[in-house]
Amino acid sequence: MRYSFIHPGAKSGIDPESRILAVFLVVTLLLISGFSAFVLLKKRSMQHEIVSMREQIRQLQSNGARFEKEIERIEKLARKYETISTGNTLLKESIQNLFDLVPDQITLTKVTLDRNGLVLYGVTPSKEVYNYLLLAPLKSVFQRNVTTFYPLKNGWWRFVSVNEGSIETGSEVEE
Amino acid sequence: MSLKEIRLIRILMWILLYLVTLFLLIFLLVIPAVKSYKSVNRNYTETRASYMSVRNGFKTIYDRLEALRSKHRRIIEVFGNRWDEEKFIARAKEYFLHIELKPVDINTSDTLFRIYEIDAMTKIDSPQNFYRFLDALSRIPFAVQADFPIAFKTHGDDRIEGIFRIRVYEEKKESNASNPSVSKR
Repeated sequence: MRYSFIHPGAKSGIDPESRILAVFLVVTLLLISGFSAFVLLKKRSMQHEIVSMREQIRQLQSNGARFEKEIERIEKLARKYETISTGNTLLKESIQNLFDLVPDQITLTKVTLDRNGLVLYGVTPSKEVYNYLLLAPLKSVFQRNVTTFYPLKNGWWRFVSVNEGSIETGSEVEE
Repeated sequence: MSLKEIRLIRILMWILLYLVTLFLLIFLLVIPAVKSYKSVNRNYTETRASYMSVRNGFKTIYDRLEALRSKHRRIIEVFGNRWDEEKFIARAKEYFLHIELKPVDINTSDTLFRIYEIDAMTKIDSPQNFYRFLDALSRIPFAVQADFPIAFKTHGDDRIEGIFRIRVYEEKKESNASNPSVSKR
């Protein structure tokens, strides 16, 4: 004899409200665990990046120091080259100016220049020509001038002029 | 106790379990994770700022170096070239009728340069050629400085014998070792 209009089914161990709450709990658990996992992964990624950036900083600093040395080296080379070029230009101008001092009447046979002075050997038609046309400008350049004359058979004079004083060139320029 | 009351108590128990679990998770998992994240994030921000500053500084140095290298390319080459007497004589012969080199002291060196001191014995037909030679020193592939003592003597009717000192500067290769070949990062 049946007392119910429906067939009896197997009874669930957990009632519907408890099931909803259990699902809610599991979802919350998953969300919180997911969030924590995300934060931890993000943190780990940042830690890796920190290590990588520190390594790059070390490399950049090391390369930067090498590049600084290289810059210093190039600047030294450039300064040295500038000194050399200036020296060559000044030397050329000194010699050019020196030869420009010599008038057409006087013929030079030998010229010796060093840092401390100039020695000229040559032939002049007369002592006056030498004194007025060559000695005067030489006196304005050098501090001490000593000239010795030797008479020649044709009436001209061979002279040796020793001029002491520093000649300006770029060799002394500090680089 | 009725069935309704039992269900209510069960629901309340579930809610209590939920809240306890939630609090436990927040205090044991979320708060420590966020705290440690914040600390790492602060460290990250500082390191990044430092990295950017170092990178900018490095870029400035690198750009300056490249500009200098490009501006002084010839000077670097000139000092880097090994002294080659024959090459020099070949170039100098364009200005002199004859040239002969006599080393004075080949081991005069300073910290950066190896210096060769050489006496050049030449024959020229006019002082103009000597001036042209001095001008041309800036175009030859060596760093050469002409210097005292200089002597000119007439040689025959139309020749001048000229003796002068030249100093050749060659960069020491040890100092080249620092030449960086690292690419820009």
